[in-house]
Amino acid sequence: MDEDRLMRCFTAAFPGVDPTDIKEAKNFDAIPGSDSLRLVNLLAVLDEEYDVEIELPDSPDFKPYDGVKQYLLQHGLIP
Amino acid sequence: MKPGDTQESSVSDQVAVVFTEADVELFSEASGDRNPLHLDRAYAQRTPYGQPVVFGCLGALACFGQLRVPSGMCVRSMAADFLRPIFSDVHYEVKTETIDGVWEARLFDGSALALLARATIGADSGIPIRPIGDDSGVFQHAVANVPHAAEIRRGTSTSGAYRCNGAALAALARHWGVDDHQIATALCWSSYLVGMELPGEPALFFRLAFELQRPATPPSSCLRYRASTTYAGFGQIKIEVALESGDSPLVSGHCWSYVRPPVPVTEDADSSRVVSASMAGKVAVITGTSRGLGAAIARALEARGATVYGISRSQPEANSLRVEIGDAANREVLRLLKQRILNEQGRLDYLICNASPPLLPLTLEPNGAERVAEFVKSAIGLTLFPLCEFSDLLEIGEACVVIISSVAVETPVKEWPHYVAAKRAVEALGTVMALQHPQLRTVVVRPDKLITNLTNTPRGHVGAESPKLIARRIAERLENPPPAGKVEIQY
Repeated sequence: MDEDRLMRCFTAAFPGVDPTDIKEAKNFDAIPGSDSLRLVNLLAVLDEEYDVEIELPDSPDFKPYDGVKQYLLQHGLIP
Repeated sequence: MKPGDTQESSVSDQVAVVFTEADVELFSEASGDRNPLHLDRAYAQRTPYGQPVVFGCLGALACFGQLRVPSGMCVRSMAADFLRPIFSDVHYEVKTETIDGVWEARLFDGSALALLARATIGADSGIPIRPIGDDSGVFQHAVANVPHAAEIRRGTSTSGAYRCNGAALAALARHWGVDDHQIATALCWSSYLVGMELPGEPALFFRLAFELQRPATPPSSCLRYRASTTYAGFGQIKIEVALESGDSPLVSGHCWSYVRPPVPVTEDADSSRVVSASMAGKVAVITGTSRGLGAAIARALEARGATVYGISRSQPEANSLRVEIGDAANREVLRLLKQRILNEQGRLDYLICNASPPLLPLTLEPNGAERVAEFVKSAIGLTLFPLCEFSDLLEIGEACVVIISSVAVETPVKEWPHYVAAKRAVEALGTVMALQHPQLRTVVVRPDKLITNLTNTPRGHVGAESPKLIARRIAERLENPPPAGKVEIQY
């Protein structure tokens, strides 16, 4: 899959954050600078990029990058 | 970058920055951005920020002022992310470095990143932009556009002529050390575009990304712009933008803005019909009645026959309210109100301490200490002074004190150490008030998040409750107040 495209969405929503920190974050709170606005940005960027409105689970165990990637794969939005 | 630095990387620099009201006014004069969130104190007081916000593009200008472009080179692309609101008279630090050929500046409030600016440079070809000498700008709008909901959609567009106020732009660029006026022009123009036109008044500009082109011929005295919304969703819009001199593009790229939704006026349903006469003859004082929960409580009590007096810093939504305009911690305001109540009513049955300062995230670190202390002092005063001033009136009869606290005292919010501390303190005041005045009945209310102006941020209303529901529960409890000498917690 085009991981660069997905990571661009995350770095657009979390500017200034190292992609490694994004990829390894265990939940959204673990991404530096994360707040509710960053989450909204991520939803909007994903919507614009993949034409999809994702429901992000409100769970401390939801790994943001892997979780979104899995969602997109399951819905056939990325090869 | 500085002379001697390579384009690939450079050592980080650090500079202290403070924005003043004069800086904000100069930016407004140069750019034509007159959005009231930045300039109108009374307007800003009714927003979650509680005070005027410094233009994000002014913050970006301060960052770009640290960029030194080598001779023969110019800025080819620029971007900025406005991550947190910036305020006057706060000490910020700008840290800069160049990594892999990308220059980056970060504006910090203590450890909190407020703004991130980036630029790439390339060979300079073409004519640099110079500010026009006269001091008149060309701005299509003198008042910020207030869009209809239908306008917040893909395809909405705008266009027109634009020119910065040349004298103000030159002063601005000089003050912040911005050598390249094309950067200053781009920031001024985009601030005007987003703050005044698209979307206009409800804008919260949060990102820009531009390519800059040098014109082949001297730029015309008046530029033209076009902008079109290419995405709208999740309370934000993305706008494709272009600024041109004749046929020459100068700036092209995108701007992103949140669109603050209007806060619904507290519904008048309860006051338009009489619920009961259970509070007929009763007299109440409520602090912070201009809108939100205070206004809702006032309506709920009036609907039950109570005579309600309010204290607020601005005119309330409901014109029927008997209001003293002023700060609820101002002793003169409180004395005037008490005298008025004595003259008109001779009694006080309910004191509802609802007023609280606007709430912004703060961190327990050196840069935040004074603001934390100021908030706590202000918040405690807004409950302490009314309690003390009305204590003798409250001793007559079976009076009831209501302290509006928050569920945050049980579930602290990480970004609100000041709010948690203040609410726990005002609850303590209510508790000791009950000990010192054992004939009083005391209710401490701990609401969760409410739909008010203070929570009117892009995500602030998610999971929020209507203040009318809380107000109704408070009114129903006051109809059957708890026993004297006890402190009851209500949610």
